[in-house]
Amino acid sequence: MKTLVAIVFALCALPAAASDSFYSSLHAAAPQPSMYSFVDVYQLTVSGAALNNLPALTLNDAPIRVAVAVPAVEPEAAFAIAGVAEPRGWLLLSGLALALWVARRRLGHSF
Amino acid sequence: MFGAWKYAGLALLAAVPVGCQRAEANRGAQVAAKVNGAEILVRQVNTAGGATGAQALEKIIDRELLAQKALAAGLDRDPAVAQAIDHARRQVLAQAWIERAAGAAAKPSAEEIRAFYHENEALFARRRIYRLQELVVSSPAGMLEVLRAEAGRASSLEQVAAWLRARSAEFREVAVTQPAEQLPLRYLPQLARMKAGDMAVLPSPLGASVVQLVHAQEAPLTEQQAAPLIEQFLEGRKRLETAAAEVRRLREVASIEYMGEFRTGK
Repeated sequence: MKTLVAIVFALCALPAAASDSFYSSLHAAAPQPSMYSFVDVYQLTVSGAALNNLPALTLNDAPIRVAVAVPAVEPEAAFAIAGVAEPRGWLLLSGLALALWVARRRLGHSF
Repeated sequence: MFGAWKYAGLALLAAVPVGCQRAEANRGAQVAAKVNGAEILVRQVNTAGGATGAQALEKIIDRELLAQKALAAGLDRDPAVAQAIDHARRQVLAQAWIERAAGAAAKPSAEEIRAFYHENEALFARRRIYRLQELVVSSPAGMLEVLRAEAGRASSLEQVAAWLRARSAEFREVAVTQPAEQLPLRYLPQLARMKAGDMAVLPSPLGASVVQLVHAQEAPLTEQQAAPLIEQFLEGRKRLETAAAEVRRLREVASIEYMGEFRTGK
């Protein structure tokens, strides 16, 4: 019975026992379930603390079923592009004239 | 005539526990205080928690005063507040349903308790109190095998420490005495097999731990001693399993549609 009392005491005194030790170093990241001791698991289980986080805990292993495939909503056009006018003949002729003028100016000067 | 007296007596006896229950219920329904006319019931005080009932009541009064002011200012119509109220309400409802589902879990049988006791010898039948010397090494995960090889060659922990010092590795030395139940469960099987003087290199959140067993004191628990603890643990575990199964069942029969960015990968 003395041993039982000792173990119960140890279970209750866990926070106080955490010190600069093997236990505390390994439990530096105590929230990691992979590093839980039996005391951690026991406290979480018996106190019901794990029950409080149940939806989060079961989120990953619960099957996910998408019941209805919802089509993606088409975005509404926020602006319209105005029609671009076709290039006209005079634009082509004026471009050629400009090119000839530049060529003549360049030939007239020696760099 | 005797029959009539007998029935009257039985009715009186039956009324006694009902009367007690009513008295208990009435006590809970009694008013503990009135705040600007709003009643605070004894039941509220009892469920609020706190060092004493008086302290709990004072806290409720403070909260009630603030809540009255918030309502008078129309804060309950503020979208953010309304959303928070709805969130809290749903949280309470979800928790209540989980608790109800978990309550339906069966109690662990004597066979289950016995099986758990025998399956976890390191915790019970062969429980030990471990005195360990440890080098807590801050190292990348890749160094674990190198450290294991070095520890395998070394004859003492001091040799490993010297090897680490020579490589300017960051580490610290600690000594600890812990019973089996306070050591990480994943390391317990390995530690349980170790003899005094044996070394082991274990991965830790910081990198690695080189552990040497200095001494292990036998401190077994008999099945009779461990049974109450195991029973509580298994009962809690069953509650968790039942509640988790309920969440899984609900998800299976529910229509859940993920929208927008949450649709990706579902």
